[in-house]
Amino acid sequence: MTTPATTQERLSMQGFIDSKPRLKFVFFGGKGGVGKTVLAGAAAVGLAQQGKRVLLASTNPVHSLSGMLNQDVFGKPTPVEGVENLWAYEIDTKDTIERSKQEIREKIEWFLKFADIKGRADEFIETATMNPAFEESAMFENMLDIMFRDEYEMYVFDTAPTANARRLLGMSSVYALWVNKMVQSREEAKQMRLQLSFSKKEEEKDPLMDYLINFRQRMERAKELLTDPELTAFFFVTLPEALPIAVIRRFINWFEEFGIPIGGVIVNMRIDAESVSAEADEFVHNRVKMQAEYMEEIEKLFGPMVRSVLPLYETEVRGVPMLKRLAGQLFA
Amino acid sequence: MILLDTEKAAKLFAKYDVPISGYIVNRVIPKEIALSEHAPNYLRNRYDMQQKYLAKIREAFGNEVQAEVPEMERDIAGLDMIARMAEAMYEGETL
Repeated sequence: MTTPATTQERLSMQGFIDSKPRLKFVFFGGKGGVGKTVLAGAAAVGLAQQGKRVLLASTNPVHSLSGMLNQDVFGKPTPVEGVENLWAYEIDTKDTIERSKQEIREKIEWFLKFADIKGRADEFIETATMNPAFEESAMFENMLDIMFRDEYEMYVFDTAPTANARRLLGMSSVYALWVNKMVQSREEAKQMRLQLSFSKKEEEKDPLMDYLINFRQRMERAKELLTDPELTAFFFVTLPEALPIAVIRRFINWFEEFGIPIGGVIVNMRIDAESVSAEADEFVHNRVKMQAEYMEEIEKLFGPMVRSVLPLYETEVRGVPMLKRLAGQLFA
Repeated sequence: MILLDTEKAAKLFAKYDVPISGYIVNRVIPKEIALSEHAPNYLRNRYDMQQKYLAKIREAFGNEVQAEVPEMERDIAGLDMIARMAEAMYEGETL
């Protein structure tokens, strides 16, 4: 099979953005420590400078946007000082978790009553909410809320480390299967109760069923948005090192499987060989050499998907002026 | 950020009585390389930044820090590099 010429053509980050005029949801994924948050920041700054109304949102349980921007953006979308058209928002997951716990409590209590089971809801709630997936699904719900509210032209998400992000997005497919099954069982249980019931009065409102149906609709909508290559792009960040490359390789395979559109690969923290003096320590020269080897591997593996190669900065990237500088290089 | 994540995990472990045997600090830039005459600026700056966070780590975890492992001149892939890492971890002193 031959690949169409258009996918062979190597697009820069700017070229890619220009080729997707309706692009709306931008994500950054990769191994921990590769600079996802900083790149999300730079991308958001760059897109805002190009005139889009942009929301930079963090769904991480541990946020770092405020630290990066030197500005408190926790709890509500906050205009970023020094960049027009840009808002930043660290979502309070605790709030969502408390709310979901309350909802789950109500549902469990209702269900115990419905099924005539003696027992206290608390034990079930503890089990349901201590699950690590619970925090993830709270993050996912938060993300969907922001996407559905549709108040900005573009959204840049600083996503959780790789495995979580994949599960979050994969979840929508799994959820759909699971919810369909649940809806079916609920229908059967309801029919059974109707037949066995002495009083032939209509079954009352079923909050579990309402919830499941509503949930299914949300997931279907999410899937529609997240799998539309004109609207969504997921960028993978790597360093010229073995493990981050291995992670995004796996990640790219998963995403292709789920049909989630991949925007491309960004290589971060490349040491500028010219800045290293010949007398510098062996240690430094070896690192430069190692990076050169891995750059070749990246070229071989991802070739036309590489959108940008960014230098290792002399200091931590913090504050709007540095983000603007990085944005300039990202969109060069 | 990694420090915050670790503190959060430690709290969660404590809540459920999962014992924590200690902490390992990874990728500490060796002093003699960072401060050598011809070290590139990025390395010196990263070293300064690390020293700031190392102080915080020592303050937060104190003698629970079991090892501080140096940044190597290349990434840890292959048995040779893993062996060098093991040596640094088991035999090294805190840097």
